[in-house]
Amino acid sequence: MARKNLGRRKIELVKMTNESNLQVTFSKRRSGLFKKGSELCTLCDAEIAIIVFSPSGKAYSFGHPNVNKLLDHSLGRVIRHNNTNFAESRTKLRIQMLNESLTEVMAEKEKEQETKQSIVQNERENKDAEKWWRNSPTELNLAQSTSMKCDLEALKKEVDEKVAQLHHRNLNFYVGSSSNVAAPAAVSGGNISTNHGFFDQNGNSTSAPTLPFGFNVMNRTPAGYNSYQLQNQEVKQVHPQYWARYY
Amino acid sequence: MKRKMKLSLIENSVSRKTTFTKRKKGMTKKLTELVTLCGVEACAVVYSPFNSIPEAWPSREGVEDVVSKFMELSVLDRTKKMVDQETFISQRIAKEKEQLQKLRDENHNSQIRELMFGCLKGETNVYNLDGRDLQDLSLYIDKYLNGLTRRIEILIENGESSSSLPLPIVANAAAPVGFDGPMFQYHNQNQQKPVQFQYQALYDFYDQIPKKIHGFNMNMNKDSNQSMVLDLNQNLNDGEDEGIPCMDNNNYHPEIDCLATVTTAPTDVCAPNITNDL
Repeated sequence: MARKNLGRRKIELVKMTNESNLQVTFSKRRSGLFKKGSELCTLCDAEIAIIVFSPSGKAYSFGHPNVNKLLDHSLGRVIRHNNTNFAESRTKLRIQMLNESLTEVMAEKEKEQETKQSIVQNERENKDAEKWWRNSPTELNLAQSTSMKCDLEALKKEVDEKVAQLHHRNLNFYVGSSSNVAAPAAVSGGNISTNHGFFDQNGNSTSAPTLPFGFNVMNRTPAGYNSYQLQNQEVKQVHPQYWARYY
Repeated sequence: MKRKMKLSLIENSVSRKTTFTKRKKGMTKKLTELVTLCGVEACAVVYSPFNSIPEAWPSREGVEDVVSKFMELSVLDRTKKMVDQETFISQRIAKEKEQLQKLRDENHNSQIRELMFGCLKGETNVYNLDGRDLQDLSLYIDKYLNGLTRRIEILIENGESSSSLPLPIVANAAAPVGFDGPMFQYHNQNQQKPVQFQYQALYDFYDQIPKKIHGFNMNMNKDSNQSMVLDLNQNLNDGEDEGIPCMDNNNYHPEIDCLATVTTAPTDVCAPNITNDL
């Protein structure tokens, strides 16, 4: 039977003939039935026992507080007591905590569902723009695949260099802190001396090769020069390949 | 729309009783549907604070029949699929958490994919991302590249033509400015031209740095006190030899080697080395 719409479909309330569908339907509906029973116990302080036999003859049962106790009550063997004892109170408290935990998990699940809906919406909008590179790799031709492969390899190189840079920056930070604690005066003097030497050579034609030397020193200047450090970081971010050589 | 019900005991007694009546009817309806659709046997017994007599479905005799059949099973078969409310809710929480994690993974993958396409188009800058996103992006690009590589192999085996040029992802005018520009052009240029691009990029790079250095020097002079100026004067008088021991104290041997190289090597030797490294 061909389905015209993609939503749920109503079914006739007669015994199903398809065997696999029967098993799946039983499993889903039994689970839903037990869920309704559990909610009824929680909301209205009721005690319920449900017994269901599967098409293959297995017995599934749900009971609160316990299937056996309720069956004994229903058969009239044991007189039911209405007063609540200590064990039942503890069980109720645990069930309450479990219900709260379940509520939290379901709320988070709903949020993720909303996120997924927004992502699908964005993808549908981008699909309308007919951009060939968004297709699955199985839909591209040879030229498109080759071109995209080159671009992705270039992008991956950038990403990996950035990751390595972040890693090294963290290490450099700790080393710098240790050095500053050990010899603050020497560091300060060294910086000034280096700055002087660098600018003295700046007038010569050989000043270019000394740039990395000066920058490496200046990376460890005291906290008073934060404004310059920020500018320095911008420079490094613009030219990652060049700086990687000197770390 | 229905109000979302809180999963706890209803405080209002009248409301609780009303809810009980409605929900009990709904539950028995579901039980009827299950029995009809799957052709199985089932029963339910409900005790409530509102009624001292238990309510049985489908009927008292029906319940007794099902219970008798239930009791004929061995204890193991009876308890294998038996759950109480505590166990049932625990199982349900575990299932919901599993679905939640699966959903999160799917959403994260979709976001990384959008991030990758954003970087390719130039809408997103790689340098604005944090470490975790960068690593996930790297892994995703790896998987995508594997798919592309297999696709290329299949196409080559089938002998598909590659003469048609694909549309560019981003126009050349929108290419990122800076050192990456010439490298980006590299895929479309002859072998002779990259050398010139590198030279140009090198000179542009050098032109940017000294201005910032001079600016820094001016800022330092403005902010520093008199003693800093005196220290500079002392260094001027002492000359370069005094500076080297300070560097030794700071464990900057590589930088000293660079300085020594600059001092002794002629200009003609330095430039080719830099070019080759780039």
